[in-house]
Amino acid sequence: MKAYIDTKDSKKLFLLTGITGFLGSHLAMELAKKGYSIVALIRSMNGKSGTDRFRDVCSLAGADNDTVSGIRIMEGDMNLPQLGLGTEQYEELKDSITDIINCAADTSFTEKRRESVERTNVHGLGNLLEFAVKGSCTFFHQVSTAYVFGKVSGICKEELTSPATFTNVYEETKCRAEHTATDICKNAGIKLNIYRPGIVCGDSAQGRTFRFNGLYYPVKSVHRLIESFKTDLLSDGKKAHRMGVKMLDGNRLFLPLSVRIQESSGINIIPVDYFVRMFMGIMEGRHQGGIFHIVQKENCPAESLIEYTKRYFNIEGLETANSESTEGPVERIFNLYNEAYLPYLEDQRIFSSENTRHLRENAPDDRFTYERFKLCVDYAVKTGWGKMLEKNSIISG
Amino acid sequence: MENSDVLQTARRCRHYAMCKIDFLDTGICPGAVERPFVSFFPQGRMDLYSGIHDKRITVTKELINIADACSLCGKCDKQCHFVTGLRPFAAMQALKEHVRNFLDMGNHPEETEPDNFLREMQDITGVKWSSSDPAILLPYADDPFPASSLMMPGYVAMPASASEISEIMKLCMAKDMPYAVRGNGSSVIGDVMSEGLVIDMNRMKGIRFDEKNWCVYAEAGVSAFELQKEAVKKGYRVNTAEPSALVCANIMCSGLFSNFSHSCGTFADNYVNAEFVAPDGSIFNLNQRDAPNLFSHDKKGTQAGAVCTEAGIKLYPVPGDEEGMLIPFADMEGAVSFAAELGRRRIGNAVGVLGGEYLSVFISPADELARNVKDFFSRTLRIKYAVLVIADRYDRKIIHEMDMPVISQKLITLLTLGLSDLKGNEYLKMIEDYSGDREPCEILSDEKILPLLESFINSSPESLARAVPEDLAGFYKDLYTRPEMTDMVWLSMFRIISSCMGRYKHPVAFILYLPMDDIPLIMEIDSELKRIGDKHGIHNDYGFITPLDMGKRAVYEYDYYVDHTSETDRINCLNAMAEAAEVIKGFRRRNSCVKWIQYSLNQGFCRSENLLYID
Repeated sequence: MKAYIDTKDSKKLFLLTGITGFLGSHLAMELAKKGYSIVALIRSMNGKSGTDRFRDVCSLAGADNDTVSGIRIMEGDMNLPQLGLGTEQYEELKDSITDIINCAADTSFTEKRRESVERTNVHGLGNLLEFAVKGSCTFFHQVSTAYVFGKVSGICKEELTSPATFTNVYEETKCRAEHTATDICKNAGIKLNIYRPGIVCGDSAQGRTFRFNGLYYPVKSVHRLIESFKTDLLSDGKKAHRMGVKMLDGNRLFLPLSVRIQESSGINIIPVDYFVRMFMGIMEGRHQGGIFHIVQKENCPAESLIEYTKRYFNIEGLETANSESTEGPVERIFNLYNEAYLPYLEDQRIFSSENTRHLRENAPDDRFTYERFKLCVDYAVKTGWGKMLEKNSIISG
Repeated sequence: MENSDVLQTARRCRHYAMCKIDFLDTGICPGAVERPFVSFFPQGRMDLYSGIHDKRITVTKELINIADACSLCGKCDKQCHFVTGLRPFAAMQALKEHVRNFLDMGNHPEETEPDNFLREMQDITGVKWSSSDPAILLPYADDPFPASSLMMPGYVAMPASASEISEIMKLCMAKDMPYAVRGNGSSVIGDVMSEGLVIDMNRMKGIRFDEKNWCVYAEAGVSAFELQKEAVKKGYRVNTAEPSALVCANIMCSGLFSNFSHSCGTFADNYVNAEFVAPDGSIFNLNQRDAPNLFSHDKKGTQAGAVCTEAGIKLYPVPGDEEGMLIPFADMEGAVSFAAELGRRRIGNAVGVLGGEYLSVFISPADELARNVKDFFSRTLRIKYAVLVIADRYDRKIIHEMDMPVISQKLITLLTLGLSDLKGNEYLKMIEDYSGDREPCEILSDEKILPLLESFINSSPESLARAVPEDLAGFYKDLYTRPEMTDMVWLSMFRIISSCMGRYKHPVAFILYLPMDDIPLIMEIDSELKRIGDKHGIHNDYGFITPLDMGKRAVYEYDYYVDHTSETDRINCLNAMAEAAEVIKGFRRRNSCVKWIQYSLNQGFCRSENLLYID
């Protein structure tokens, strides 16, 4: 495939945001590996400079130092006017940047963080677009999410959407961001690619990640419950028994937990390297802009995820249920804990992916199988669901 | 224990007099029952042991009596460990040993010849109740307050009645003898010392109920704990302060306030009458037409005048369905707003905005545990402040309807007895990791989930007792088997938890009356006092806020903590106090509703309105 950008073309300079995030860091590594000229806008946080934060994140993402050493770090903050840069720096940068990749996002689902989510996902984007319009940017790459379609079921196409209601503030702001980017880029004659990934998990080789939300969150809660009950079961087990929890033959645990799902509900899960590969394919192949779903052809059924969880933790009693089921203490904690994520277990959105079909042809099978699930959860458990990573790094929000 | 450790322990006594009340049902020190001079209590013996080391006293006749009176029963270790974490038993042993060695070597104790003044005093009180023996005097000579310096009295007397006090007053007047009246010591500014006579009120322990008039008369030697205990036996409650504080002295010094002041008020709101002995020896009570006007308040402050010998304290009914609850907050503003709202709506019988120290150090029986608990509340549950409410079932229902997360009494008990199990608990890790829309404590306090929590947290007296030294574990296990030890109503009424406020160091309290409708001002004062404490390297923390008079005013406390055995700490604290005093005066100039208790000392019998609402 012919690259749309000649990586040796010194006239092309990319501004990359969100480089300390999960997707941004992986994209940065790939772009650097391919020889793209990159300026990364990073804010300092909690007393750590942007450069230190980038170093931390490279280590977490398993980056090779030589590869990323060419990335130019610029301390700034897209949530601030002039991207938090001095006037001279801002002017100089805007006149030299030709392409912008916006990976910055606040991925919180919680309403109480609305202000922060809106600041990054909408207002910060506005500042970035203003920078693009004022300067020499010709192509804007907006990383969005496949889940911008709000509370709907059925086929979701690769086009702009304006749903009446959303599952959470993250989906809502990403949808608003798409409209903002489309309007501004159209008026300014800037080409725009919108990338809509599904739910991104650890890489397909090792399950490596440093973000343990999304898929991980409900699985982690099951793991915590199991560990908690095991402590009691290792003594007299009386308390666990009162909750209906017991040990079965073969070291299996019976954990009576009914999880609400819908018929045919499922989640579209992709490994981070799949996202990177598809992103690069789209970016390098599409000159005119468009909207691209970076998803699996088929969702992973919620029922399968529950089966995977049972198999992985060697448990029985974890069952699917309809919403009328009685809620006992174990269900109550699970439901409260996963309040933000449960809608996804009942999700019936199906994402069409016509615009990326050509990229999937001849690509390896990336379906979210039990083996992939195991890889991801193995890594999560090994790192204490990220706790051990936190000790050595910032893991920025 | 090494000798230097014993000495250090002895020096670190905070003079809280908690060893003088039977707050843990261990019984008080048997050596002090017969003659309750401070010297006979563990507190006094600690002072005497360090006094011997510092050559302030030698072995005297009374010191031998004091050492002999100690049976080495070990009650002091239990009581003192609960309050301060100190183990004074070794100091008791060391004192006895010193005296025995002294006598074994054929030495003779120093004897003090009584002078005329003492003889006249002894004529009034009986020989054994007035003394000039240095071993009796020394524990009345010092106080942990940073501005206090050693002031050895000439005499200590322990009268038994108002008429004896009257005679003593006349004698002092005739002989121009300066005097100080002492309750259980350690007034908020260490103002209980005299070069002349110290009058210790501890023999006046009479309590007389007048139930038809909802009143109980307490003589000047009755402590808050003792009075509350008697009131509770009869189904009532009184609004009192720290458990070891003597009620009359407490009113006299600063007026009574507690979290129950939310419903019971403060100053004159809490008593119906009081009896005094004037400096000329005349006896009067406040209901006399010609009595001095102690209801007034002088904003410039005043000196102590008459001696309060008895106070008629109001009795309050206790609803049988009261329970404690904590409403958690991540910030001060939310907590104070909520407490003010409770004030305005007259919800609850006791309300107090508690801070981090209360939620950790005060409820933990050991240092390391306190650190874990603080971490648990602030990091896992994201609670920085909690509004304590003691409420009947109707008010609790209203609070639940206010849609606040509530840490119920049941959960408080569960967490208190499970304190040792909070760190590293798998289930609590789940709460810690939670990142949804709810507050973590909301999940923790969900009634439906409580059975799970009971399953996951090892919550029992045995579990809690794991946190304390092995030799005290049995005692703590038995102690926490008593339901009242985790009952917020009982603990609040008897002020048992807050008695632990000097666990690490002696607290110097800044107590202010503030306009509760001006929350930004309250926060500004709080942040200024913190800034000053930090600047001078003094450990400091917010104390509490309680709404007064339907949330129009609040009583507020901020504490600086000083290691009174460290000269550096003492100087730092004095500097911080001086700077804080100027800042408080500045706030007072800005807003006349800001009142500092410093100017209300010795005016605790005043009408609360005279203090709170007259500029």
